[in-house]
Amino acid sequence: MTFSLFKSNPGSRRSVIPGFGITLGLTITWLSLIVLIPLAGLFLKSATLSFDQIVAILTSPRTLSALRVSFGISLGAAAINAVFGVIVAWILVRYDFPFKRVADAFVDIPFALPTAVAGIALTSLYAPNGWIGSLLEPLGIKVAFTPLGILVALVFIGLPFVVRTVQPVIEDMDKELEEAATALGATRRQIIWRVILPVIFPSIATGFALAFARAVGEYGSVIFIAGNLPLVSEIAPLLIVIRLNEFAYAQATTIAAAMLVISFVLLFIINLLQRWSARYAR
Amino acid sequence: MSIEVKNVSRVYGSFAALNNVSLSVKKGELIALLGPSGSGKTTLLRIIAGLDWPDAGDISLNGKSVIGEGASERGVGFVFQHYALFKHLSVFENVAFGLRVRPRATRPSNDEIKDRVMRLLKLVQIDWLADRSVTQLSGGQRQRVALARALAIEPEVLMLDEPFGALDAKVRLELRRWMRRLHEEMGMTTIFVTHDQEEAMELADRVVVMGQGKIEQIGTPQQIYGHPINPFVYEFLGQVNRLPCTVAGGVATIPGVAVEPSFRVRQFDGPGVAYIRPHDLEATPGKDDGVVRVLAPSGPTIKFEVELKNGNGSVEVQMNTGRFEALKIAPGMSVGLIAHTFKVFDPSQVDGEANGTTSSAAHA
Ligand SMILES: Nc1ncnc2c1ncn2[C@@H]1O[C@H](COP(=O)(O)OP(=O)(O)OP(=O)(O)O)[C@@H](O)[C@H]1O
Ligand SMILES: [Mg+2]
Repeated sequence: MTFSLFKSNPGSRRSVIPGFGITLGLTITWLSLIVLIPLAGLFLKSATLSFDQIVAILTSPRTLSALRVSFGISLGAAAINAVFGVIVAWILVRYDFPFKRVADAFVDIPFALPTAVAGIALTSLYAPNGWIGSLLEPLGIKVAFTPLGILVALVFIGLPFVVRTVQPVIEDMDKELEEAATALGATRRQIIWRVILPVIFPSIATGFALAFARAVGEYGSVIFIAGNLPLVSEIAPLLIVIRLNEFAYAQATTIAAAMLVISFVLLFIINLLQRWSARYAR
Repeated sequence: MSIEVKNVSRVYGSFAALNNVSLSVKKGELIALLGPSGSGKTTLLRIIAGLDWPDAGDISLNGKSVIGEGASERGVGFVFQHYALFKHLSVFENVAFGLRVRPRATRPSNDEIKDRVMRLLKLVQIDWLADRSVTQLSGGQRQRVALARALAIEPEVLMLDEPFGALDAKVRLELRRWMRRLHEEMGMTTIFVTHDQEEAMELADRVVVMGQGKIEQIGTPQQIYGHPINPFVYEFLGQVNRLPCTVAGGVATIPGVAVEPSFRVRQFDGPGVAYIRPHDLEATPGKDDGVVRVLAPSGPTIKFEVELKNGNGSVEVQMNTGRFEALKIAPGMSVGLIAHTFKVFDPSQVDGEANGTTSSAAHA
């Protein structure tokens, strides 16, 4: 999620790190083969439609709703993960408790589990007759087969991204910084806001971006728990698959291209935010 | 602010980093904690500042026990060995930190903060760096930022952990002088840690020599250097020759070395170990106590080794260059040795063999 193309400054100034030309060449070739060319194909395919047709597809209520569900809930899930992921990472680094290593290993499970399995497991937990669902039912909270269910699934699959990006940064953080702040009279809360968070913020932003990107692209676990009601709980990737099954390839690629553009813009903004927050630390 | 450390112990696992340490510091004093690596200097400093807690004992500031208070309440300025600057903040904001975190009632206005921070940055001579990121500073500049940051909260006690440890010799000397002046101007109580005996001697009103979690001796630089109370302190404060000797009725005899006739050893009788500083030894041609081996001229004085004929190893002699040249001493020459003053310790207090030179721990 770091747009490393913008990072180094080549050219006139000589650098201690040699091989800028060859590494840049390799990077661009590789990116082209793996990412850019398939994406270009996507845009070419949608370009077989007229402009009016494209607008019609993108502004249809079903498409708009699917995009809103996908991006809205993905952002929400990434935000939740940003908060709880940081707390989990903090606890894993700073405290000692029994079975800490086991807890640490558990964080990776959403990485490893086939997403369909995760979807089925979550659905059976949160279904009205499931362990958790049956507890929430009397409170009038429905999770499975609603947008809330999508949120639960996306939080689940996104958690490790935040934990694993923030954890090493907390590990590397110098305890003396907190001590220095204490000696200067700062309270615990001030230390969190003024010393700890600024240091780990760039990594939180990276974790957020990763979790968000993963959530936008997530398909397997969501379709089981979402209920997939058009206009309510249908995600954009599902709509694309439906269009593909109808052999409406151009329609499918148009929606996909729209997702791509929106994702790129959002990730770019997150990246800017991250660089801005790390402006002094370099 | 006066500081009273009473019977403080600190144990890590089964290892006693501090063992029943007591120390009292008067208001306005400049104290050096001097000791070899691992002797517990940092631990003691942190406990006084409230960044660590003793397992036993008490700390009082201005006569009041502060053992229940944390560092933020004690209001002690602390300069860390590795500076611990906030990398996400500019130089200015680093220094302003202690003012910005004050409760609203006592927090100065933005203009006052600006004023005060700029004044401090001028004081430490880096006001032109105010807007820089601290990652773009040299070691000496970082040191100054750390100092200004600690001074910003107007502490009554300032503690510095090896403030000049990571700097080159010239900057060290400059900052050292400058810190002495600052201390005199601001009049606060200052404790600094060092393992450089020269630094401690030059700066401090009183020096606290620490070894292995204990305080070995407390005194003015003259007392410490002139009258070290035990072999540890003696050796730590500079190079010393250790030679076996016998004392009878105040008169010492050292095999292979003549003793100044008028010199008397007090409060000692029987076999002992003589501790002789190189500059208290003199070589004279025409006798045959030893042979001159290696010469190391260094400005106004010259150091050389003399290998003793009686097999007691070799000793280091330091003479002033003028006298040395007048006597025409050269490598390979046989010389006599005469000791002007020295101190005798009981052999049971001394570890290792009582032969030849030991270099001071500070240079080890
Ligand atoms: N957190 C800790 N856990 C275990 N042992 C510790 C801890 N902190 C310090 N020690 C031990 O306590 C002893 C004294 O440490 P301290 O840092 O006070 O030494 P020092 O005199 O400051 O040494 P230096 O000159 O190398 O900084 C050392 O042997 C060190 O290993
Ligand atoms: Mg130390």
